[in-house]
Amino acid sequence: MAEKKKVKASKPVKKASPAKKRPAPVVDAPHAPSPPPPAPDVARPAREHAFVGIKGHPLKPATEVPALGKDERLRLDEILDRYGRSDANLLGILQDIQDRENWLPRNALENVATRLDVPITRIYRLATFFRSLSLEPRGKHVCVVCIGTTCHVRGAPKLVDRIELEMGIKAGETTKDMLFTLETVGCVGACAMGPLVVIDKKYHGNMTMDGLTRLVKGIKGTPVTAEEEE
Amino acid sequence: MEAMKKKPVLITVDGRQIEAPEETNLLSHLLDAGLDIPNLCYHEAVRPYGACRLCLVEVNQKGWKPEWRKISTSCNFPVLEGLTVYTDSDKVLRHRRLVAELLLARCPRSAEVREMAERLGVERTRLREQDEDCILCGLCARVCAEIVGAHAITFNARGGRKGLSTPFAEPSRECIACGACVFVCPVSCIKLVQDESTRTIDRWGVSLEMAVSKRTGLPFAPRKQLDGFALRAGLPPDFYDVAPGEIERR
Amino acid sequence: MQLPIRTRDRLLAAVEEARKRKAPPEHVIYLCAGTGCRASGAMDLAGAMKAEIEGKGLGKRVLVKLTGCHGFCEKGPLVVHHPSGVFYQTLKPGDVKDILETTIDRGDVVERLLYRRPGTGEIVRLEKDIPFYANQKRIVFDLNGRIDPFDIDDYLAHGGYVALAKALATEPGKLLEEVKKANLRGRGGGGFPAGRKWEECRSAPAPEGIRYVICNADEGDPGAFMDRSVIEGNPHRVIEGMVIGAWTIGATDGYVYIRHEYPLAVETLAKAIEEARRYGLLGSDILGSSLSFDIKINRGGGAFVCGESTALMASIEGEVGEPRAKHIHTAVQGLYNRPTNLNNVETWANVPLIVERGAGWFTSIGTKGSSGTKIFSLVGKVANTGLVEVPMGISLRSLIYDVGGGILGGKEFKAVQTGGPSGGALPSSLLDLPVDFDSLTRAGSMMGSGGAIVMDEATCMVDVARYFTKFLEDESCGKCVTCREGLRQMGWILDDVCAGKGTRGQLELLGDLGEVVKEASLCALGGTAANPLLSTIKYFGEEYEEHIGEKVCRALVCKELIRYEILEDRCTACGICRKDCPTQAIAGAKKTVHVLDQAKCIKCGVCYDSCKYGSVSVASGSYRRVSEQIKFKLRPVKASA
Repeated sequence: MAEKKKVKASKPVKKASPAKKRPAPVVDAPHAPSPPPPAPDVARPAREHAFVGIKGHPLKPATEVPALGKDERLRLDEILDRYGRSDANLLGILQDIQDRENWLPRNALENVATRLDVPITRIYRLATFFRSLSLEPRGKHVCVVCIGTTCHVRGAPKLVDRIELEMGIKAGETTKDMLFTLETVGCVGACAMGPLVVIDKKYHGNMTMDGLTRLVKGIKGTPVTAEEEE
Repeated sequence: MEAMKKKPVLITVDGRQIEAPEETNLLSHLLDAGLDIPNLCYHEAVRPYGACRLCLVEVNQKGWKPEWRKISTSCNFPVLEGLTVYTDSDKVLRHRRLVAELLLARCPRSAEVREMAERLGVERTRLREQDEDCILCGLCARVCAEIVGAHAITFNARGGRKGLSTPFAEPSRECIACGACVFVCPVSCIKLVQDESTRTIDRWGVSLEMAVSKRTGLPFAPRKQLDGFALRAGLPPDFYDVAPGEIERR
Repeated sequence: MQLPIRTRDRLLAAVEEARKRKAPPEHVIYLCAGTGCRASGAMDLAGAMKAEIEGKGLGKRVLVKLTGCHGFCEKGPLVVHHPSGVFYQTLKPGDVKDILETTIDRGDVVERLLYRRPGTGEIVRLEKDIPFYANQKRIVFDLNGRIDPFDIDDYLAHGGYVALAKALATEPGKLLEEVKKANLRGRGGGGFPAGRKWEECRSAPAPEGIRYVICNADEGDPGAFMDRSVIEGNPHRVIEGMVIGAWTIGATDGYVYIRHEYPLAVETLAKAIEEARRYGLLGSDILGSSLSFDIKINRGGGAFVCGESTALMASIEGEVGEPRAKHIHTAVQGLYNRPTNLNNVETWANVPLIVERGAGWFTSIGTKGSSGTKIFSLVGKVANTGLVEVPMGISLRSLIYDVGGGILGGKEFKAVQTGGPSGGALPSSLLDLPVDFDSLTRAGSMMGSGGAIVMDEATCMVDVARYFTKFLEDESCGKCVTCREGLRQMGWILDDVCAGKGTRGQLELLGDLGEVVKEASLCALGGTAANPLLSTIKYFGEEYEEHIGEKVCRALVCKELIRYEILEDRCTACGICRKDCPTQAIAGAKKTVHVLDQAKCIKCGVCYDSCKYGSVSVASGSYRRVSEQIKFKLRPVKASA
C-alpha cells in the first residue's frame, strides 16, 4: 500500500538573538483544556498551512524558491498576456496556472506577485481560501469524490473511506509516488447520478463499491479478481 | 478629515439624544458618549471589520414600525438620521454573553478575553475548549496592510480552519518589525522581544538587527525597516545615522 | 445572413432565415449531452450512433442533435425521436443498431428501451405522456432538449432574441413596469422581487455612468443543478435576459460568475457569448439601439460562500469571498462600489419570456404571491430523479408522487429537504404544503435555489443536521465569531449525539447556539445556518431523543450506534465479505459460517454491501435491516440437508 505523503518535519528557526526563553503565560489557566475533538465523520481535505502562526503550531523553515525555468516562464507569460495585468483577474490567473501545471508552483506565484505588483500575502490568501487551488503538487490522477447532500445520503462517505483505505491516503493528500490525489468537493451538479466520482475530469455516476474498487485498481495497475469482475 | 464633511444628525441611544455625523460608524460615537460597548476587533485607525460580534446593538431605523428591531454590530453600522439604538436590551445582552462564551471556549487562557467575559457576567463557558491564543480579529493584518503597507501577514484558509500567518507559513521576508501588530493586538498574542542588538517577533519568525544611533549608541529601529523607508522616500544614505528627533545625551 | 446584425428588422429576418435553414430532416434524434448523461456514457452513445448512421448511409435523412440537459437524469443516456416523440432510456452503444433498424427504418418502437411506470410496469412510448414530463410546465426549459446549445442559429430558429428586439424598441421605464407587474421573484434563494431590485439599481446615482448586471451561477447548494442545466442547455436565453436587463437598468458591463465545478457550463456559455458578439447581440450599439453592453465570465474557486452577493462581488474584484455587511444595498453600491444588479440564472432566463409574452401571461401561472414556474432538482430517494419545472403552488405531495413517481423501492417517505444548507427538512405531515416562497419559509424551511432532496427511512435526520452543520462550517468564510466558532461547536455537539454521547443539556445548548448564529452573524450563510438543525429538532425530535436517551439510530446510519452481524443461519460461506473486509475482522472458511469480530469492526458496511446472499444484518436497538439477497447459487451452510 502506498505510504502517506510525509510533510517535512519543521526545524526551529535559528535566531541570532540570545533570547530563547518564551515569556511565561500571563495568568494560569483556570482548568486544563479539553483534549482535541475527534476527527469528523465527513472526510475533509488536510491542508497544512491553515493553523500556522497560531500558538502551538511552529513556522516552517524558509524555502529556497527556484527561479522560473524558460518553459515555465513562457507558459506563465501566455497566461498573463491573456488576462492583462489587472489584479482583479488574480483568481482566473491562478486557476489557469493550476490547469496548466496541475498545482500552483511557488515560483510562479512569486513571479505573478512581482509582475502584477501585488503583495505575496494576497496571492497566498487567495490560494488557501479557494478550495479548487492547490499549493501542493498533485498526483498524476486526480480523483474527486462528491460529498454533496444527495451523494451523502446515497453513501458517498463510504466511498471516500474505501478509497482512503485502498490508496493509503486521506482526502486532500497525494500518494508518495505522486500517482494519485484524492479530493472531496461539495457538489459537482450531477445530483441525480449520485454518488459521483470524477477521475481525471471524467464523471462516473451511480458509483457502487464494486465499481469503485475496479476503477481504483485500474489506476494502481492491480489486476481485478474474477469475483470482482462479476 | 472625512467626518467633518458629513452632516451632523440626531440619533437616540438608550433614550437619550446624541448628535453625530451622518454615515460615520455608530460604535465610535457610542464609545465617545461613555457607553461601555464591548469590542475586540475595532480600532479607529483601520476600517471596521465586524468579526468579533461583541459590539452588537439593536437598531430601529426611521420609518420602521416602532416595535421592529434589527440586531447589528455597531462598528460598521452607519449613523442615520432618526436612528434609535438600544445597547443593553435583554436580547443584546444574551447574544453578547454567548459570543463571550464562544471566545472563551476558543482562547481559555487569554486574560483579555476572560476579563471581557467577566465584565459581561460570563464566568465560564459551557462549550468545548480549545487552546488558541489568537481570536482572528485581523487587526494585525489590517494594520500591516492598510497603515504600515508592509503586507507581511495575512489570513489564510477559511471556516473552522481559518488562521493568520505569514505567507507559506515561513519566516516573513516582508516584516520590518515595526511592532504595530504587537501594539494593536487586543489579546496580546504577538510578542516582541528586544535587546541591544536585535528585535525579535517570534510569531512571524523574524529577528532583525537593530540600527544604532551614531550619536547616542542606542538602538532605535531595525536596520531593514530604515533601509526600506530610505528607499521608498529617496532619502540620503546618512539620514538614519541618528534617530530622527533624537535628543543628544549629555 | 449579414453579420453583425445591425437592426431589429434584420434580426427578425435572420430569425426567419434560421428557421428555414434549421428545418429538421426526416428524422431527428435528440440526444441528451448534459453533464448527468455524460456521466452515464452519453458521448460514447453519440459516437456509436453517428458512426452507425454514416455506415448505413442515412446521413441525409437522420440528424443526431446533441442537446443540453433534458432533466430526466436518472434514465440517461436518453434520446427522443422526431417526429414520433418516442422516448428511449438508459441506452448503451449496443442499442444503436436496434433503434436505427426499428424506429428509423421500420417506424416501430423498441419496447425494451421504453419507459415503464414504477409499480405497474406499464410502458409509455411518448415523452409527453411520461408522468415525469406530463406533470411539468416547461417554459424556461422548453428548448432544453431541442436545441444545440453550441449553435446560435438553432436558438434563433426557435424565436431566439425576438424578445430582445422587442425590448430595445420599448422605453426602459415601461419594461421595468412590466417586470414589476410580472412579480418575478429571485430564483436563487432570496425570493426578492426582481423588479424592485432593478428599480433601485436604475435609480441609484452612477456618477461615472457605469452600472453592472451580474448573473449568479455559483449554485453551491449541494443537490441543486438547475442553473447548470439552463446554461448548458440554452445559454442564449440567459444572455438575452441579461441584455434586456442591461437596457432596462442602464448597465454597461455584465458578469456571469460560474462555479469552478461546472466546466461544461463555462465552455458552453463562453462559446455562446462569442457567437452573440459575432452576431452583434453583444457589444456596441446592439441592434441599432444606444445600448453598448458586453459580458465577461468569472469562474468561482470552490467556495460556497461566493454565492452570497457581496462575497461574489469581492471575488470578481480579485479578493477572497468574504461577505460584508449590507447596510447599503449592492444595487446602490456593489461591484467596485458601483450600482450593481445581481440575479440568479433562472431569474434572468425568465426575463425574455416575460418581455415576449407579457406580465399577464406570467402571473397567470403559479400563485398570487409567487408567479411563474420554478425548476426543482428532485433528487434523493425518489423514483424519477432529475430536474423538473413546475408551476408555483403545486403541492409537495404532487411534486414527489406525481412528478417524481413516489419513493424509490417502495419505501416510506420520511422527509424532503428544500433550500439546501439554508433550508430545512419537512416531514410527511406537511406534504400538502404548496410549493411557493412564503409557505415554505413559514414552515421553517425555504425554497432556496430549488433543491428538493427526498429522504426515506434509511436516512438519519440527526446525521443530516450534522452533515449540513459541518458543510457550513467548512464553507464559512470564517470572519465572524458566531458563524465560525458557533458552527464548530454545534458540529462537535452533533458528533457527540451521533456517537451516543449526547446529553439533554447539549440539546438545549444547541438551541442557544442556533439562535445566536442565526441572529448575530454577518451574512446570510450564518443567518440561515441553523435552519437544518432547528427544523430537524422541530419535526424529528424523536430521533434526537433516541440518539440521546437510548443510544439508538433508527435509520441505522450512525456508526457508533449500529452493529453489523453475520446471520449464522443464512451464511453461505461464499467468502466475499471476509475478503473485502478492510480490517480483516471476519473469520471463516469454506463451508464454515463466517463470524464478524466486533472488536475489529469499523462499521464501514462493506460486508453488508457485498453480501449477495442476504446474510448480513445491521441493527440498532430494536431496529434492524438485512442485506438483500440477489444471488441464489449457494445454499446456507447450516441449511438442513
